[in-house]
Amino acid sequence: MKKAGQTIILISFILFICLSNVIWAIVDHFGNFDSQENRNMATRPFLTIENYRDFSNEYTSYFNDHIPFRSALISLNNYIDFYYYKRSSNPNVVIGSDNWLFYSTANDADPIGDCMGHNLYTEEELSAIAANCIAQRDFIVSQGREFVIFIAPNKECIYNDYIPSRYGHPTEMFRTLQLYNYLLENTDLRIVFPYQELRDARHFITEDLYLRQDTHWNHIGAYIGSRALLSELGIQMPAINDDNITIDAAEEAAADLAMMLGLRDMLGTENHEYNVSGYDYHNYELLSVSYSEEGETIYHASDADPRSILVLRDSFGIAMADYIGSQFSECYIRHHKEYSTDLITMYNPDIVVYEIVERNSDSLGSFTLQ
Amino acid sequence: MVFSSSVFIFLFLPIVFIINTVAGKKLSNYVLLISSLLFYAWGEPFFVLLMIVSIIINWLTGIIISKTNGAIQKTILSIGIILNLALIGYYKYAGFFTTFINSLFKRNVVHVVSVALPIGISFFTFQAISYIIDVYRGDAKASVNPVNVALYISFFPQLIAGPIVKYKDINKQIENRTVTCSDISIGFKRFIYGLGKKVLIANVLGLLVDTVYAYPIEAVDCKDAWICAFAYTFQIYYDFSGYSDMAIGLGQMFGFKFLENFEYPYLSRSITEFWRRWHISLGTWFREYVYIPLGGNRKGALRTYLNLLAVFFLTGLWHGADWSFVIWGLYHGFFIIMERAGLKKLLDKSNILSRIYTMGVVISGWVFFRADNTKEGLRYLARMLMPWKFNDPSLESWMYSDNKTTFAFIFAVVGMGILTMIIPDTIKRKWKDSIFEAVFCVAILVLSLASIASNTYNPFIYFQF
Repeated sequence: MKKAGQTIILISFILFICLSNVIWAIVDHFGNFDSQENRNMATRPFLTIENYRDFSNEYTSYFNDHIPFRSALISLNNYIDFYYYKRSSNPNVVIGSDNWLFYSTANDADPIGDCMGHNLYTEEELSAIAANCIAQRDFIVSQGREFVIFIAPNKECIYNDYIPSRYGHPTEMFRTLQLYNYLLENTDLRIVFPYQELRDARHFITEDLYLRQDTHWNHIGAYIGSRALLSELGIQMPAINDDNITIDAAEEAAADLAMMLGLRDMLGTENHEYNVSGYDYHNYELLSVSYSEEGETIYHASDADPRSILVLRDSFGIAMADYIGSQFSECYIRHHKEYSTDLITMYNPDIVVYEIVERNSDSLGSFTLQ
Repeated sequence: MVFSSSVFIFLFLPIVFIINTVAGKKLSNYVLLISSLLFYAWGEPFFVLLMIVSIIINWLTGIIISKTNGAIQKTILSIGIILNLALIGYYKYAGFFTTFINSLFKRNVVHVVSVALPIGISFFTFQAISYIIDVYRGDAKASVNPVNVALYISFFPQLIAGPIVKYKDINKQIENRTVTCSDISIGFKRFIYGLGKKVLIANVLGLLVDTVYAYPIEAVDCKDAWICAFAYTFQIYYDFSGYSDMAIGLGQMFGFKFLENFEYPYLSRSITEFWRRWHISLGTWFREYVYIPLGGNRKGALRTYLNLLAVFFLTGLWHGADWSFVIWGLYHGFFIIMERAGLKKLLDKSNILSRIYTMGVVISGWVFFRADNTKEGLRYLARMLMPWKFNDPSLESWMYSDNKTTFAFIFAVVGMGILTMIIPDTIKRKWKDSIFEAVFCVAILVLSLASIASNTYNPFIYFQF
């Protein structure tokens, strides 16, 4: 028995340590183990006189990105953290009830803190944001176009009852609502913030409006948001609980928060994505589709509203695309990071929509279309 | 490069082990020496030259000592010790001493030196001093082969964090050793235990400690301070003893038997006993090369106490170039003196009270060790001892602990010696080298590797180019 125990240890040394790189080289050759980290993995450095001092750090970074069986080991560790210890292995991800995941980071706004009533704007900040928005609006409107600002609500605000109570209690007045009310009451800006519509929708449909394992809304939440935007633009869409609207389960869905935990493949199945149909598609055609930051998505709907629309979006605008694109004769959707005045010249839209997610609404104080 | 890093586990260790095995007995010392120098150069690409210079000087000193006698021999030894102390004095303490001198005169009398600290200098310098003293005393012969001395001083398992190995304890193994499959297996098993201690317990509790210390001290109340103190008490034990386990295990895998460095120190019933169980190699080094040459306990009570104070002053200073370490060392020295003066007789009357006393002294001492400075240490102690004055908790326990830290605490308490005390010897014998233990160790290994890999996971919510 003693020898058996020692033999097991010896074999584990040979397999796990001595032969791990060889075994991994074979396994990796036949499998697909792409990184889920949203970054370029470190490349192998070569030792030269110039990089002699930093070579060990560079090689360590490279090797850390290429440890044998890395993704399996990470999944194992993070699986144990999530299911056994009920803890998040990433400080930027909060685990809520029913495995709802939320985004929590000081480096990218403070989504949870915001919905708990922290970080309210000062009067000066509100005034500065208003001034900038008016300036951009005036620039667009001076060209004879319409301009609307659209703020897509954070998941943290719509599903704040799933956030652990230790983070505080949601308040009636929170940062973005404060901004929205200020802009409504003190300016004539056209601004849409479908917070109340989404909160109300939770009462009359049972399906999720946001993806549980992702920061984004699903196609139901996007429909409700798009409906609010289109209403501002004079187009009426059926309510989400209208008899004509059909909601069907869809296949895969994004899971960026599960990815942050290294558990996208395990937790991703708890995401609920849907297809929404039953509204008037106006026989739209999808002429071009690309949701990369540089790409453009173009719709044409000959028997829809005769106006053309340019939507300057972020990632929340992707799920809105079909709903908006089907309601206008021409619809152009571009990421606002790629904006230049050339786009206005090129597309010549009747309407310009600036879409931004709630946690980035601070950028309304600095964005420019001029 | 640390033992718990992916580069060491998956790259350095397998390559060195395979090459050493293929090279055979005759070339093993050369393989291990080159590997050890590469190991050190990985973290200190330029200071490796300093270590090589130190090795050459100490090897030459040993040769000259062995070929001289009398006053000349003693002079050579003194020069050798002074050179070693000058090395560590400059790189580790120059800034500390120059700052202290300026504070004494309340002006900039000397330029404050800021010198980069070579990793492991405290360990390899002490080993070098051990070599030349052992040669002088005749406890070991000077090695004509510089490779042997170089390997002794630079051997990678104990280079960075000990145990401090005395030359006379290892010279015969350097000259002649064998490695059996049993050695590899037992050594690797020891390595696994050390890795688990470091990664699964020490690192987890360390996160708790770092989180609490990151908050302003005003946010910390009595409960937080005690939890943090306990966490650090276990963190430092499992980190240090875990590293020693890995070092001893690695040594055995290459045919070396190092002496034990920790013997369940938190079971001690006095501070005197604590220092026979904690960092044993450091304690025996100071006893053999400082305490006994100073006279030990052979020159009356007062001289004994002064010798003890000197040893613990140096022990504190050895740990770091800061007054908080010196105070920590003297703090332990004070209690050892008290025990010698009569407190020990009182402690011997009760196992439980003596253990509570010892843990109380040790835990409080660790507060100074961990705090950024003496003042912060005192403020933490105040929070621990005067709860009525600091009961406005803005720090909540969920901010620094969770289920994982609770589990780590439980395993830390059980593993500190309680399990070994209550389990009968028959069961211990059956467990040792059994299949059950092997499976348990494999599980520890896999969990540790998973944790190490997880620390390399660095995702972004948006793609980073």
